[in-house]
Amino acid sequence: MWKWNRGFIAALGAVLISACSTNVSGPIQVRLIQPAAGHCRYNIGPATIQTLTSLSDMQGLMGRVGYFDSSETFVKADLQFGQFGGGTYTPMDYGSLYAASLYYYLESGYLLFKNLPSNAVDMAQEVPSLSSSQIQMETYDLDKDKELVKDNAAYLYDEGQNIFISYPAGDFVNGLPFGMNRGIMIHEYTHFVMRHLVRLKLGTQTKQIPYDTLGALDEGMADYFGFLSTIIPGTPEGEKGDPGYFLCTEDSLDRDLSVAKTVNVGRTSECRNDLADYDCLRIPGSKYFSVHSLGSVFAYANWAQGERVGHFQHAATLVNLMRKIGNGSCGSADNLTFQSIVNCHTGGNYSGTNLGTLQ
Amino acid sequence: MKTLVLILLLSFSGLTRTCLGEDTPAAYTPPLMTDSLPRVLSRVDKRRYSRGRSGRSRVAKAPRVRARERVFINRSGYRWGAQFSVLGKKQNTNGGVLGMLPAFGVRGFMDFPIVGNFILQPNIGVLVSSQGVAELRTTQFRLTPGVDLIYSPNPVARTRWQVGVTNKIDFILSQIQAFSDSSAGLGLGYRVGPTTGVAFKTGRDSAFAIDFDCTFDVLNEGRLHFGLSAGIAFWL
Repeated sequence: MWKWNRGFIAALGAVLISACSTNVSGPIQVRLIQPAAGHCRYNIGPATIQTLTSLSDMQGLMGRVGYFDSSETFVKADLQFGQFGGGTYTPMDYGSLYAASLYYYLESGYLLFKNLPSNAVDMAQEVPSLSSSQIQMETYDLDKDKELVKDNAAYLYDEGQNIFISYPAGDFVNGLPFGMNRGIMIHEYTHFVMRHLVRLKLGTQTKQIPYDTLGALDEGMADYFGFLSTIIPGTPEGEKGDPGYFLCTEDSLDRDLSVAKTVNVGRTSECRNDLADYDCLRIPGSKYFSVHSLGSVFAYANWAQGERVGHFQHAATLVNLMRKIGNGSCGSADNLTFQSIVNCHTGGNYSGTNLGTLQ
Repeated sequence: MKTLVLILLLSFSGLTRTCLGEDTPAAYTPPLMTDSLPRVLSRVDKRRYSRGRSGRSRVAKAPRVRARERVFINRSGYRWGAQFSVLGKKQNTNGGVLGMLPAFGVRGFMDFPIVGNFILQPNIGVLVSSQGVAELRTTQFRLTPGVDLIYSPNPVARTRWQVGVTNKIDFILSQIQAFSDSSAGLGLGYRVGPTTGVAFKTGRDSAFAIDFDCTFDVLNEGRLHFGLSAGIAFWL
């Protein structure tokens, strides 16, 4: 009897020690969904998270992942990770997978900018409050029609607080939820970079920019850096990345970077600010466009140039462009147009699009 | 054990009636009270019974019991059961029902009387939970062995109520699937908490048993779990 008890207590002790160690610091390995070579191809396996300080709180350099509930409170998410034999942590439910994915993808964005071959930018240095960011999973939010917002992601800058948002999944039946698509979350991370390198530098002047040219530039940058995150170095196919990564989540969007796009100067009606308004991809002049649509034209031009010169090298020129716009080297923010942006972009090549003509 | 064997033999020999369903505890059941006892003693019997020092014998002194009490109830106290189970894990994120992530499965248990009305109940459950959106799915297979310490005021009552403490170990295999790829890993949990249950007798040796427990996973930040099981229990 005593022997049996001893064995039981020893086994229980081992279990306790093993499971209590879930609250650990990074770098650690967590079983997650990662892009693989090819269009909408994914691997599930160990991914290294570098900057976590607490796995059970999902907190680290990138901020803290939490649940934004219906009382509009940012609360700790109920998470559970399993580990056996000191190896890879495995999310024990959908919520835990979601939370770890959000953190990991945003961290991937941080490392992407930090490891560029030139003009690298360490956003933890630029934004000391980065670790206080909110990373909201399944944010509860109502739109103007009092409908629950679903199937989307966003970045907000609210009174000094950086907030990364992923809304709950809706009814779509194909692909991955927005928060599980690394390209989309790095799209949001790029908005964070643009906020701090450009918009906050320009200050209140941005409100005077006509037709939200800066908004379109923001979306185009975000689409392109999202694409960069899908590149898997090491094989020719992997290095092509997936310019159609948006379609792996929302295939109704005309958001494939590799598809040539131009601005239609014949459009005379107001555009909705969403990509379902396809005709806005061919919108006129500088008056009628949506930021996402015009941004996708900008993203196409940069994807095409990246194909010619190498994407990471080209990405470095875009970071340089951000800094130049932010410090006023591209001209007065009051008069910022795509023509001035194109002219200011050293290393840019916008042939095949008419962005350079947009006044 | 001898009593059990005797009872079983008598049962098979047709000496008993099968009108189980009374609240008569085992201790009150006359062990040799059967319908085959002579109602009218022969002369020989009369002599034999009158010779005794006290003039008493177990048979002769056996109290008369009403027919409805003249039953065999297998009161060994050993009981086993099989139940359908639902386990809810508290979750404030996607996919929950009433703030819980449900898992469904089956559970088996065995009762071992220990002291007085205390019962040791080893049990094991197998449960599955699944969540997913579009091409993404997560599935958890949970093997849950445990031991409950139970007290029942009257373990052999027609309607048996019990209360106790449960503790369980969770071995969880968590599988993630997306598109054509999948991967799985193991996790552990150790849950402790109160349990209660009620069993309604449904036949000679069977009962419909419902058990409920509320446990805290001490290895995972004390995460709350609710378990509900319902099924059939059988006395041995």
